[in-house]
Amino acid sequence: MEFKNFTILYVEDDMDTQELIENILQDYFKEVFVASDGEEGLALYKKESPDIVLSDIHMPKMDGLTMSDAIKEINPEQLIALFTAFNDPAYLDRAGKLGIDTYIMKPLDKKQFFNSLSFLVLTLDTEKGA
Amino acid sequence: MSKELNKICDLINNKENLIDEQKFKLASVTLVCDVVHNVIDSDKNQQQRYCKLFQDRFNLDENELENIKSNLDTREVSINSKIEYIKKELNNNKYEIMEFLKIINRFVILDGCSKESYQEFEIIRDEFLKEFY
Repeated sequence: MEFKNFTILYVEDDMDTQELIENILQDYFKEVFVASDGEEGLALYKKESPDIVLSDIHMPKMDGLTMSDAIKEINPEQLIALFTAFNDPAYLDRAGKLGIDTYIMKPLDKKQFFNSLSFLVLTLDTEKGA
Repeated sequence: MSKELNKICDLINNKENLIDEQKFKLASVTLVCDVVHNVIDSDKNQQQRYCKLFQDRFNLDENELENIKSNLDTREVSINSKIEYIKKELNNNKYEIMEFLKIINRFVILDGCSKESYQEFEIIRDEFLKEFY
């Protein structure tokens, strides 16, 4: 499976986490675009049209769900993964209705992280190859 | 949820070139009922409701329905064997497997779910995709 065929937008406001995840993503994806809040993420999305969006939920200026909603308005087929600790059912309910494609667990579990991203890459791979 | 459920039913019902159509349906329905029970709603009555709904949609007889219910009670062994069977029927073709999984994924996420429920779904998803990761 070729992660290297695809680009990803990563949105996270915690700088330590951002640096850690960005470094991992850089090793796998063709290009990684990084933003620190939903507003910046949405602007970068419009500019770069990444294949995958990976975002935290709780962020200043614009949260990850509001940003995802705006992105789905632009492209309903956009693949989006959200980081979540699964501690807020209202957010998960909203995420489901928005059409979020997968969840990444907090705290980070590397196997779960890669399997979830692999599912999205396989989705892209099979759609492009179909 | 009914829209996604209809998509699943259509996908299962319209699959062509199967070695054993009825066996594929039974394996698929068992898997979907298991997802409903272990991922979406652990209420036993809900599980029975879905079994009945699938019985109607797929013209399953009483024996087949009972078979699905008993399979659900011995989940650990039976679900993996159902997954293996579905994969075999889909010729281990990643396009077909992904088509099947994307709909189930959508079905699971649609109404929100707990961490434990989502982890249950991931076990099924990863069992389907282990050769492709």
